[in-house]
Amino acid sequence: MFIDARTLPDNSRIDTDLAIIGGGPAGISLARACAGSGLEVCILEAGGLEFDAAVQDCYAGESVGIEYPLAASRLRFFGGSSNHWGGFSRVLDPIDFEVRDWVPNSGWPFGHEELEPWYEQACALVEVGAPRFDDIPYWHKATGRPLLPAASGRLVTGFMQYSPPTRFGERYREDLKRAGNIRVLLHANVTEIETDESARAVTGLAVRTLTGRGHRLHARRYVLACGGLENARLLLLSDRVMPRGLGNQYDVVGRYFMEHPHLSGFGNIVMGELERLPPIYYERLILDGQDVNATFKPSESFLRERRQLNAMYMVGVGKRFAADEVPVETDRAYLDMLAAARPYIGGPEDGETGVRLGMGCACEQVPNPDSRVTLAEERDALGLRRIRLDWRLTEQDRRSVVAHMHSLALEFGALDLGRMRLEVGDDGRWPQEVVGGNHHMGATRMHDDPRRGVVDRNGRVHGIANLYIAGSSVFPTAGAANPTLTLLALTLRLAEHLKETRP
Amino acid sequence: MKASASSWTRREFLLTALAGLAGCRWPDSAVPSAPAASAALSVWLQGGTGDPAAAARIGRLYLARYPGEQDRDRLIAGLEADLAQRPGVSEPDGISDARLLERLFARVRAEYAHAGVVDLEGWVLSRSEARLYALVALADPGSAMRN
Repeated sequence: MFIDARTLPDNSRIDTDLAIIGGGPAGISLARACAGSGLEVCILEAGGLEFDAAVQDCYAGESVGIEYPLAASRLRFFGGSSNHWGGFSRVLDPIDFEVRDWVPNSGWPFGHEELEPWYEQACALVEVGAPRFDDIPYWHKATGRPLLPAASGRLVTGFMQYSPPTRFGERYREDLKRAGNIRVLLHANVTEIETDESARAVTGLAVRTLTGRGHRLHARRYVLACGGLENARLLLLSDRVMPRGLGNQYDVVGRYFMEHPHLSGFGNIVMGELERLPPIYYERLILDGQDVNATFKPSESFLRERRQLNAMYMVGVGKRFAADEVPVETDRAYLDMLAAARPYIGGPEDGETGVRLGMGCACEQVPNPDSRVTLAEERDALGLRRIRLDWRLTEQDRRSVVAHMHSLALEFGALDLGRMRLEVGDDGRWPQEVVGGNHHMGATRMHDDPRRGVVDRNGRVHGIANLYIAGSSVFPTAGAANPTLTLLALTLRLAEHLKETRP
Repeated sequence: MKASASSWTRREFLLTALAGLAGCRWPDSAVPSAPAASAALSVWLQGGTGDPAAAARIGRLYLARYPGEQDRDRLIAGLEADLAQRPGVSEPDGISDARLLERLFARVRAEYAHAGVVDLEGWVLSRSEARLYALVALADPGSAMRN
């Protein structure tokens, strides 16, 4: 049942067993997993079924670190940020879950194997088929062509599988409507998570609409699922009993915000014969009904030996140089290399032909307590302090990126594929072009020690018996994979936990 | 004498480059006669560089980056040390050009695999490959740098 909170009588009271704050991929998946469970579930979604600029404005805020599009990187209506999701689907690597002595604050409370059954279910949710993210023999057979061998030991091949992309609000709306135990309250902004005087239990949610109506919701348990930035914001805003914010007794809420720094155009590779590179590396292929392409990622041995952070690289054809084309001056360097290196990388004797591959990367960043979400002084239309984000990257992050770029150049050279020119200097500074990937991770991180995390291994907020968090804000480390599959896997795991431990 | 490498055929250019290299001093430990060593170098130059003008432009980047190697003797000594089967010893009689070239290609691949590379204004190149381009550049000091 879908209800518009703006149409409810003012000061309505809603009772339920499980309140889910946020109707994005995490909230919708959690509710679906509870369909028919006997639990009464209520999703509170701040927006409606469609985009609304006035609603979206509540996501605006201050960016005081690396420039960050706070409002543009997320969407505040039913379906959440899946409404602009690109569909990139990949699991984290096993090493991403480990305590690595060269990565401060690394380590999850459990290993990759804990999430494997949930990853399989998450793949079904985003409609990508079976998880074959590192299954080289499978994709070799599917393409009918051997994939690249490892030449330098630095890089291996991984695979990105693509969701259609699944717009969770559209795709699963009917499922939620059909479920007799699920209500979705639209235009329902949670403005405060209320607790008892000890702040050890949530007693209710204050809910407001932009039209001025106020309601209250009471549940046995509550799950915060409104996105990697907003989860932290709402905890910080709920400061009536704990002035630092709910769950923030040790000043961890909002800290350790992580993105995947993306650098496009950081390098170019020239190839004399594109045929030497299997197409799955530079374009998406539909194979066995699945949309997939190959990525380059550092080998686990390289990460351990060189003590580097994780990363993922993808290439695509940027330009094809035709024999009869009049070269532009900016291409001269590439054409020279194609002509000079022909004995190694192939290409015809006559004419200037070949291709230039462009590259993009997504890189892990170190969990950094100074990269953080706090509250600005300016208030939104609900009277709530806006979000302030200070996204920071470190020298360790940058050195890892440089090392991995170098690895890509070495691998292409060792395989006689091409020659790479790095377009970004190694001058101790992050390039101005660095951007995020709309991946919001870490600001309510998971750790069994309440001094080092906001939630425990089951996603429960430390010190609060009935408050949980779902979504990528609980990631202790970011890895290099897009977060959607992992946040869904964690959410499905949480659903199981909530059903098993119902009061 | 033609004005620049870009107006020569590739063969003319390389033969002239080798002519300029023929009188260079070999390391004291070198046993081979100059013609035998030059024959191997000739194979590596001819087979390991593409368009001479383009190679020369890239080679100039190497020479600018490593001014200590702006010297044919040092470049050749470096290449010979890395590419010869046994440094200082002449190549066996009858070794084919194909085998000499395969040794070059294997060496270049290995340099990439083991990070034996140089950074030339962002280009990541095997050192041996870059030295060959540098030799071509020394033979044509008039080639313009276009990067």
